[in-house]
Amino acid sequence: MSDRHVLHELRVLVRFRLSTGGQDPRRAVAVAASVVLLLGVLVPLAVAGWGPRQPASPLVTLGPSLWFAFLVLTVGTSLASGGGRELMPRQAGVAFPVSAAADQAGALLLTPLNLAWSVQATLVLTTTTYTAGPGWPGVTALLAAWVWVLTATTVAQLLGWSAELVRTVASGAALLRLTWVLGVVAVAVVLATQDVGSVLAGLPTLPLYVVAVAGAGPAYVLVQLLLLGLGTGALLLTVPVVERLQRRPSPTQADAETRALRRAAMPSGPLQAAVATDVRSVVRSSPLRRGLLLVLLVPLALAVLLPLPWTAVVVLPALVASGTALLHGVNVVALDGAGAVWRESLPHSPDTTLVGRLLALATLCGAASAGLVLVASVRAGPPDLAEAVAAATAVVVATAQVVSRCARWSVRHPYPAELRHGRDAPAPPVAMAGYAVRLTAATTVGALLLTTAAATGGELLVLAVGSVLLSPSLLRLRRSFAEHADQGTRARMVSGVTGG
Amino acid sequence: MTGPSPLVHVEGLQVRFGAVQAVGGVDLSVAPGQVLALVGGNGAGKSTTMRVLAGVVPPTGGSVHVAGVDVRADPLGAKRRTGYCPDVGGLLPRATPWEHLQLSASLRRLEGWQPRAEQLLKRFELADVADRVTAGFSHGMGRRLSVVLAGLHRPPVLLLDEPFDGVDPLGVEATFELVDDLRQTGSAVLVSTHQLDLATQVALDAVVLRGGTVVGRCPTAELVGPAGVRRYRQLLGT
Repeated sequence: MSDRHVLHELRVLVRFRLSTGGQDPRRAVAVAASVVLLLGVLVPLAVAGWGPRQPASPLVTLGPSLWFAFLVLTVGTSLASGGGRELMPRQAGVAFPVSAAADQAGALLLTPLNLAWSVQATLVLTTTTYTAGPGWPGVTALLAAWVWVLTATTVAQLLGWSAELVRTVASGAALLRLTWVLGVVAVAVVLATQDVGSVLAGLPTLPLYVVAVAGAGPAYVLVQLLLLGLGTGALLLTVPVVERLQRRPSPTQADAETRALRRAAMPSGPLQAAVATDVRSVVRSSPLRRGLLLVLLVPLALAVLLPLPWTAVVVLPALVASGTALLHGVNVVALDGAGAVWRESLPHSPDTTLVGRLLALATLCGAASAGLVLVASVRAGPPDLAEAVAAATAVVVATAQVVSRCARWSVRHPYPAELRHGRDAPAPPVAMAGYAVRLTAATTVGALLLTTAAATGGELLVLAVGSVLLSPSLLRLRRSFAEHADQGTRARMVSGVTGG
Repeated sequence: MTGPSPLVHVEGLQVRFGAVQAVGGVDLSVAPGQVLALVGGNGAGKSTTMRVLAGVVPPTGGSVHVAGVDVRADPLGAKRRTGYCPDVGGLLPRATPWEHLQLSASLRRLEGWQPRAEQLLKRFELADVADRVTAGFSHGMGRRLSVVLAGLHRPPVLLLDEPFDGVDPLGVEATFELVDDLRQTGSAVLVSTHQLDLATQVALDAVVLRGGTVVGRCPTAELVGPAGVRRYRQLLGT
């Protein structure tokens, strides 16, 4: 397929997706281009202009680690999302001839809508230019950082798609699990035998980073050409992988959908039945399981790798709760899929269903956040009373903030979503990006306020700040329940998630 | 002489979605032990009418009573008295048939429902897949399970929306049997379908909808054969 055809398909799909989402395609493209220009070029160059760096600056030494972390995060995201998000939802696109190259290019195009990717990429770009300093060195460093961002992303996509292909062969899923286990064991062995400083000094990104910030020269040109070649090769190699994948059904999924499951005991009441139904839906959904693993693994790795201070530990619940909610919580009714109509026809109080859905979500967010805080506390050392109260309050506040926002979005903006395949998400890409920004901003600001309160005023101030932060969440929950009690609202929700 | 009070009584039903009038004045009633077919083309308002009766969609206007319950005032009461098979999908993708039955039984507070559930699953040839998630089901299997779920609790009002769509002859026969069982015990059954031949087999009376309004009422016998099809097409204006 020629490049012209791919670009044409891509243009058609983007226009279709934007117009069906009620957005003006030209305006959306202009906004996207402005954001890329601002965050990807202007901000890094402005940061570079703040003067030459001292060699001992923490940002200078952190640069290679950030480059490496970007690669790890991008690979992890790609593996969790089965290569990348879909420009055209599978259900809607099944009758249209979308080529493998366009599918791949679409996933690549949607990558910046992943908040974690965008934040990390911006960090990579700004840190690199900051290290290089103002003028021409900053410009060449920015170019090198862009080459790294693009190369890491295309390589990560190749790995993500390839992992999906491996899943389609016999014992492929088991092979992938074994690879994961071996990877974790290898990291554990390295950490047990070496100190963190020497591990970071040995990162493969260190020489690449040094060349990037050293300015233009033969080594610079050679490295950038090599990276560009690697990225282009990954891009080209991905197309046949996607083509094969389009032709092969996943035996793992077929196995999961045809296996007889053990019957559980009858729930003791309507609320228990509602919670059990939602928890089972989450556990049995492949994208949700994988996403949850990624949401837990990245902060877990941070907590194990680095002895985080308690000020950072308090922020962890914000990140984990937000990440967990983005898996399905922003559109909780989507768990029911087409069954939402039938479930709504069952005799139950509307409050019972919503409480059940939110309890399931709160349990996931709360347990993941609390578990991570416990793990991080091992390396963080014993906290003082204010820090311990701040960490516990952070878990409660982040969970409440996330759950209340999810309740509001689920009631007001239902979307049809299968949550069946690795690439499925609970809402369209642009909506997901908006949710990610709002959740992360709200929870992180809350966590920072708690940290400040713990450092300046002690545990009583922490509790006071926590109460203030909880109030809007409780009000939001109350409003959402009131809206959900209206039969017309529920009918719109059902219609929204079933697409009809 | 007056017959028993109808279990389904609809007068001047109107449903509006924004600028679209989905149902614009439907009147119908179904007596205990009666099976009524709701027929019409796509977009006639059949499914919307069924969703209103099931308490899923609120009516915009008119009066709707199910087993003596005003659906607008007490949708929960209506849900308790109906068994509803939705028109499309209608199943939770990551739950098994048995878990669907458990959820329904739990919310309806049914006791000793398991033997009937087993018997219905067997009758609809779903016993072997009772513990598999429904995401892997064919369309016909899904339809059959939706009918089982609608009939589990022997509802006074059975609402079947397109129950024969994509269902094989054995599944159709099982649905006929279930409808007949419930009819004999005094339930009112409303079957919405666009398959005229099956409508004439399952019901004695039919209401024809077009563009959200009733355009004809007649015994289904009048819709049988070439003459019946001509009359039906005439009613639909095609």
